[in-house]
Amino acid sequence: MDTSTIVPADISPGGAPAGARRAKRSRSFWDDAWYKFRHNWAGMAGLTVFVLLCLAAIFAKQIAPYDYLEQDWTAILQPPSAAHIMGTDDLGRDIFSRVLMGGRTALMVAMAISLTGAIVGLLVGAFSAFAGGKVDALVVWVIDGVMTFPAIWLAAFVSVATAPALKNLAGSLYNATGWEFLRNEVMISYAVVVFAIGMINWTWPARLVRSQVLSLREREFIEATLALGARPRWIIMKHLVPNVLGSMIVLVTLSFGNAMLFESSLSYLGIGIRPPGASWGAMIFQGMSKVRTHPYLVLAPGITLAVVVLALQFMGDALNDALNPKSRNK
Amino acid sequence: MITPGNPASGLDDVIVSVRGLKTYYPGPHKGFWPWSGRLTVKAVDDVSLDIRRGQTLGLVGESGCGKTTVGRSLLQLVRPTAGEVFFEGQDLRKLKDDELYALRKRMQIIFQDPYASLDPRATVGFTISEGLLIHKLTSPAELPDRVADLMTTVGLNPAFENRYPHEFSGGQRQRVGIARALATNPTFIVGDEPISALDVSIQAQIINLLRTLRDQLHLTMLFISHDLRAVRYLSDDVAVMYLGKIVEMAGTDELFASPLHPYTQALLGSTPKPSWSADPAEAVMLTGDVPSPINPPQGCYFSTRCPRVMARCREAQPALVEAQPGHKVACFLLSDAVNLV
Repeated sequence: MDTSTIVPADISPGGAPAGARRAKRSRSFWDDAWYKFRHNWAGMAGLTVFVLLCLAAIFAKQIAPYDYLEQDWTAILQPPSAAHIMGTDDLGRDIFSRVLMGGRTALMVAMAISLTGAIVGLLVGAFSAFAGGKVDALVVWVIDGVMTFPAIWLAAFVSVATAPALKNLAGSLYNATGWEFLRNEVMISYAVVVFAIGMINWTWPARLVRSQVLSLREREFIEATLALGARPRWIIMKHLVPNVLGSMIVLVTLSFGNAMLFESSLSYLGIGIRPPGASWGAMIFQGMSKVRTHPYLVLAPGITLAVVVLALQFMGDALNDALNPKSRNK
Repeated sequence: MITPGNPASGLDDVIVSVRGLKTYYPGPHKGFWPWSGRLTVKAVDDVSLDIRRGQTLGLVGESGCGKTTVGRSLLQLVRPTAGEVFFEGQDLRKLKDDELYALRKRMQIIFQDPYASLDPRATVGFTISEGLLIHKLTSPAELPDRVADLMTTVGLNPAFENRYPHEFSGGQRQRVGIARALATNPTFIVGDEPISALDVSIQAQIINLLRTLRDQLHLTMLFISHDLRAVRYLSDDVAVMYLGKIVEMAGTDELFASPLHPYTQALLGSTPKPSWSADPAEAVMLTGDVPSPINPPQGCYFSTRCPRVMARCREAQPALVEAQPGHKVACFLLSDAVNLV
């Protein structure tokens, strides 16, 4: 087709000579996002730290030189040395082994919280947006209500208020099933922490999804896709999900770091993970009384926590840039 | 030329045929309370028209007169309240969902707003190929070449296929929208004010592109616009809408040479003309606003603003009748004259 008459000069092929065109499929949104993420050094550094943490948490028992509960009364409050690379605490336990196990705790709790938060938030947000009317108003009211409280205050309150109830529940479940882990105090404290933080965490994804669905539904490109002959499922999978998912991934990554901080905060306050369970927050609290003479008690878990949360922040920022098409070429 | 009335005659030639189309929207509440009933906005009220194969019908009118709703009702993007919409002999309102989805590849739309009508998170390559993917019209191996062809056809550099809409100018985006509409080889295209959101300099490019494509691909078009010059340039026939009704319909040359309806005369008079124009139009300036489609006036809808209003205009609605061969008007001034003959 002769298009010479209808191709104005300003948009005629300028960069690549004709014929140099690569015969490949249009790069998808996800290819493009990965390309941009790869070229973000902070994001890649964050991802590296996060992957290392995951590996360390999964293989904690294999990596740890000692059992994290093993008390060595001949080596109490040892400074870092070849035998104990992060030293030992006041009960003679190896701090490196405890930091590894603390990482496992933090990762498990944060994963449970952000995944349930994302799923609950997605369902509630989408439901609220599609239901509209009074149901929507009620859901928004509840979300705003939860968000009004200072998060750590609310988490502490829920944790203290629900711990006995959850313990009773676990007790009766144990009587019914006989499963030993239901009597494990540490396991119950995990559940309490997940529940307490999860109660707050779902509101962010819920609010995000609701507003996104509401605004996307009215957009003309949705109608344009409908006009092409797309069925509702195509529109949801190819347009609604990609538009919502980008922001969701960013939010979940950032909330992952937040959840770790929250878990440590609750444990620091003594209402999170129970001893002898290993938690960075609890380790910092135990070390605080001796911080002047034995700073490594606090520094080891503290620096680890800071590095991991920072890494997740970097990752979240890089994802935000990568998943936002407008940030291309930056 | 528009064939009057009977859809049975020459259906093979008439691609799009609309009979008594009505599209009503729910309007504001009648009373104070949320549960009090709603008023009806009669966006399109009893519109009938035919478009023959390869012809372009221009649809003009002021903002809010329902011309966009006509286009969307035609494609069933808005479900009409009543009436029949025939496309290639099939009544679209009687089709099942699956049949309609499949048929949509043969009728496409170019949207007014090139910013809102492209998914910001989809590359233009994906947007253009979407229709082909949905209807599985092209094998994956041939898809890149087909997309490149389409981009070249509308005057875009195929190397830009991986770029996102925000990297393009308004005119380029509208070209993407045109390529998307052309991808499935439609026979009928609705142009829903495709140039009104563009700069004047770009408007000419896009309208030339539309004209070239229409002639090369033998497209049938419904060209919706409030730009009379664009309609004149592109259309074979023109229909003028006022408040949800067609008030005049004729061949383009005929309509612009001798408009019969007072509203059309006023519309044509409102186009700015150069001062040296040979025909300094006796400009009929309309006063007042378009009445609300929620509460249209009694009798002829145009009676509130018509410079030649008569007593009976406020009592009865004039029907759209053929005042001259191929020239239909809904006005008592002319239908009376016809009846007297």
